[in-house]
This record gives sequence, structure tokens and C-alpha cells, in this order.
Amino acid sequence: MQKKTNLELFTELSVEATGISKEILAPAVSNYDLVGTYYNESIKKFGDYFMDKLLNRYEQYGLTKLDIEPYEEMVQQITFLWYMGAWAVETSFGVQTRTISAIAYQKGMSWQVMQSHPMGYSVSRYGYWAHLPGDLEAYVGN
Amino acid sequence: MGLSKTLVGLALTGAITAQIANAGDNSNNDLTWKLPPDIVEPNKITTKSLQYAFDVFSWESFIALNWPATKKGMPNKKKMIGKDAITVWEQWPHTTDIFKPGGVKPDPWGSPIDTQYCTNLKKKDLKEKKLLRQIKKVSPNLLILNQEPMDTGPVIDQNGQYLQYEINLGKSMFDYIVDNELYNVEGQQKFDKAGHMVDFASGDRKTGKTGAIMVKAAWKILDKKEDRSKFHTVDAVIWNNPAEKGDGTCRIETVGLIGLHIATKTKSAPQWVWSTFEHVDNAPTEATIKEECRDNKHFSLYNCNEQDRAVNKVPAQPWDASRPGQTPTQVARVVPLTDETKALNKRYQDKLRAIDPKTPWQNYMLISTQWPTRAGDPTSFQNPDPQGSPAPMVLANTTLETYTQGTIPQIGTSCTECHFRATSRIGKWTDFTYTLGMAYKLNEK
Repeated sequence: MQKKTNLELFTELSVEATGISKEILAPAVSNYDLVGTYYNESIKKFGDYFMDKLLNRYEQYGLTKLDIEPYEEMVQQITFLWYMGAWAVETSFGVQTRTISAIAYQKGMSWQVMQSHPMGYSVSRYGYWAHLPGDLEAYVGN
Repeated sequence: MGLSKTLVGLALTGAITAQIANAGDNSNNDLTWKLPPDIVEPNKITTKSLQYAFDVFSWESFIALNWPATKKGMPNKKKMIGKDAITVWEQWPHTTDIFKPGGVKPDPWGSPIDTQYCTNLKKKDLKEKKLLRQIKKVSPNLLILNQEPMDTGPVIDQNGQYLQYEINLGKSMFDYIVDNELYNVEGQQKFDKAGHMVDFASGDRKTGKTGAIMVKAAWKILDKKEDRSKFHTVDAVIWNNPAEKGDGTCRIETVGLIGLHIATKTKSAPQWVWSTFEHVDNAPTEATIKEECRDNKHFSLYNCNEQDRAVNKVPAQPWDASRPGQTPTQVARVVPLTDETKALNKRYQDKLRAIDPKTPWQNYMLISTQWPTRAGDPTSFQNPDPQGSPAPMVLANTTLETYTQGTIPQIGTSCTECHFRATSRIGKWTDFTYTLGMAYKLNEK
């Protein structure tokens, strides 16, 4: 069997950690490569060495065996990234967020789970607020 | 349902697959007057393969729409594209021929242009001329400027002349508007009260029928020194529209086509397919201006001798097309063409050149095609992605979205995102067209 690439492992880990389907996180046809963007952002943040270690361990043992440091925090950070489109950053003023990009903000999964949209940006048409949103499944894919 | 699912579903039907195969990817065959009803499904569905399929669809549409035409806006099947001639879409009615003051019914399809504005010219001089009466690319309205969503200002070419614009609708759309009396406010109210929503026809490979098509064109007045053979040209009546600070007179000029939007509704793209073409000499790409200017290249909308000037800045007011000696707009393309689109352009340009080495059509290029990657129902409030996540995320034509180019969300132009918000004169859904916002009330002047 062909060995999975790190990007494939990152996608699988992301699906499992967020509870959101692959069809939503990394659709085969899309206008923006979110999973590729977040994978590269994660490498930038954690470095190749730790990313390799994390994904190897995930491949061998699954998500439940990542409950030791530094993996647990890495998975928490990656999950946060998917939901908020931002990194949680320690500052002298406490934990703050650093949004990756305007697109990452728009595509944050927290909005999907809320069956809503980010502040200041909606893809819905005029008057949508008077109607119930679609089922949660339509937003998170499962 | 996503586009990929729709297409996979289609592929399961043998008969449909055979039909698609027969229709073929025209990029390897002869050029044809036949408008493609929809894209040809790629064998392997990926974002790239679908982009290619939509880009081929764009080129096929461009060829068919620019085919030599009969006076009724139909392709002349006895002729071949190549030599410059009046094209199919140019015979279609302008939006101002459909949405008339007083809310009156438009003249039947194929009626001659309305030249009532041009009282300073003789009737015989106006015969069979195109009428251009717009100096800004603004949808929808020429006459009620404050209703325009993109009132960004005119573009002045390197000869100091204002670009001219027109918006024309195909027969399917024209018939739908006339049959449902959507050309006036009262008709739109009646339609809404009866519980209808505007839903133009979709092109479908299964039936072979083409759907709704809108065309927006940008024209440049050609200077006597310019090489006219490089452009598709027509003699046009230019109306200095008083609503755009003109003096109300008309004059006859030879104009060259420099920009063309084609918007088409298809079964695989209920959010429509947005194709945009430009003349190859319009403007350089911002990131490569120095290289492109190296050989003393002449652009219609960029002066290589003034590279220090800021690009894509709206001309100073007042905007008045009849005022001589105005500073040309310095225009540059912000988002470059992809290598794939450049390669496809070359293939079609070569095909056109092979038919006629002097054809002006070899001097046009596809900028890109925007299409929905998740083609669900755009009208459903339960659809979490009614705009269908269009790809590419932004798309602009330097002649038509000059001042709104770029990749910044909600500022860079997205055809789908903008047209999704279009409403009629009574504020109702119009299925991606601003034109219904141009309707007058009965007896309203």
C-alpha cells in the first residue's frame, strides 16, 4: 500500500480533531486550498521536525495517543486554527488570536457549526435572517 | 448538491455521457457557430480540469457569439468566422431597448435600433449603425445613476477618448422578460404576487438547448492613425448621454471592441458561468510592466512612457465625454492570467489565424472564467453556500472593472458575488441580473 503523504495525514487528523467532514475541510473541487494553507501554516509554526513527529505518531496510533506534550497542544492549536482561522498566541496581555488571512476568517468552521456567517461577511442573499438556516449536516458535512 | 456530485451523477447515465462525448471538446475540432449549452464534463473531476472545461466553454461561446450574423441576431451558417463582420450578439437588443421609459413593451426581437436620441443626424446616416450611449461600465442603469452598484467612473483611452459600453441580452432572456412582463414595475409586481421567482432558462447538454446569455461590451473609439485591422470594428452612433453630462448630440465613429463579458446560465452552473475577454493590446500586467513595455509597445489603455504614474485611478471630475484634452487613464491588469489560460488562448488564436491570417479575432484573449465549485440552489435560504464558492475567487476585465481589480475580499471583483445580490426594481430576486432594476413604471419618464 502506498504510504500516505504528510498532507493526507494532516487532512485526516484535521477531520478527526474538528469533527467536520473531509468534504467540507478539503473538498476535491474548491476555489481555495484551505487544507494546503493550514498545513503550510502549521509547518511554519511548529517546524518540519515536530510536524513529522506528530503526523507519524498519528498514523501509528491515532488521535487518542496524541494526549501527551507537545502533540496535545499542537492538535489543540490546529483545531483552533480550523475553527477560528487564527492561531492562539501567548502575549504579555494574555492569550490573543492572530488571524491567518481575511479568507481564513471567512472560512472559519465556527461559523459553519453555528449555521451562521462571520461578522461583516455573508454569502446569503437579502432577507436570509427571516428564515431558518439549513440542517447542521449541510454545514459540517456529517 | 455540489457540482462535482452533479457531474458524477451525469456520468452515470450512459446516454448522457455519449451525448457529451459527441458534443466533444471543441478545442480540438473546427470552430463552430453553435453555442455550447453547457461544459463538457472532464474525465477526472478536479478543480483544474473543471476550470479548463469552463475555459473551453468560454472560448466556444466567444467564437459562436462573434460569428457573422444575420440581421435577426442568428449566426449566418453559410459564413465562417474570420473576416470582420457584424456579430451575433451585436444584433441582440440593448437593455435600454427592453426597459423603456413608460414601461412600454419592447419592440419584437430583431427590430432595428432605436435612434430617437439622435435628432442632429440624418436618418439615412443612422441606418444599420450600432448605438452606443454609455461611458461607464455600470450595471444596471444608464439613466438613474444613483442606482448603480458599481458607479466607479469612466475609462479614458490613450487617445483621450472615453470608452463606450453596451449590455445586450440573448433571445431566451428577452423572451422570458417579455412573456412575463418583467420590463415594467407593474409587471414585476404581478409576477411576484403570483408567487413566482425569476428563473431564466439553463443551457443543458441533454436537450442541446442553450440558456440565458447576457453580454457586456467595451468599445474604444479608433483614431485614424490606429491599425483598425487589429480590432473587430463597427461604425457606431455615439450618443453624448445628457444623464452622463453629455450634450445630447450624436456622432458617427468607428469603434473597436476591447472588452467582452459573456454571462451564461447552464445546468451545471446555476450561479452562471462568467467569461471575460479582452483585446491583447489593452494594458500590461502590473507585475510585469517593465518587461511588457520593453519593445516600445503601444497599449490602448497604458502609456509606457509614464510608468511613474499610479495605475487604475478614476479620472478627475467632471466626467464629460465631449470635453476635449482629458488625461488618459493609466490602466494595468492586477491579477495575471494563469499559464493554463495563456496556453488555451494560444490554441484558439492559432485556430483563428489558420482560418484567416488577418482575422481580428486572433487579437482577443480569455482572461478567465468564473464558475461555481459547489453548484447548489442559489435561491434556497437553507443552502449554506448559495453563491457556490466561485472559482477563481476574483475576476476582472481591465476595461469593465478597471477600478475594482484585485484579490481583497469584497473589494476585488467577483462576478458571482456581485450579481448574486442583484434585485429587480421592486427589490426581488432576479437570478443574477441587474437589468430588471432598470424597469420603469407605466407612464414613468
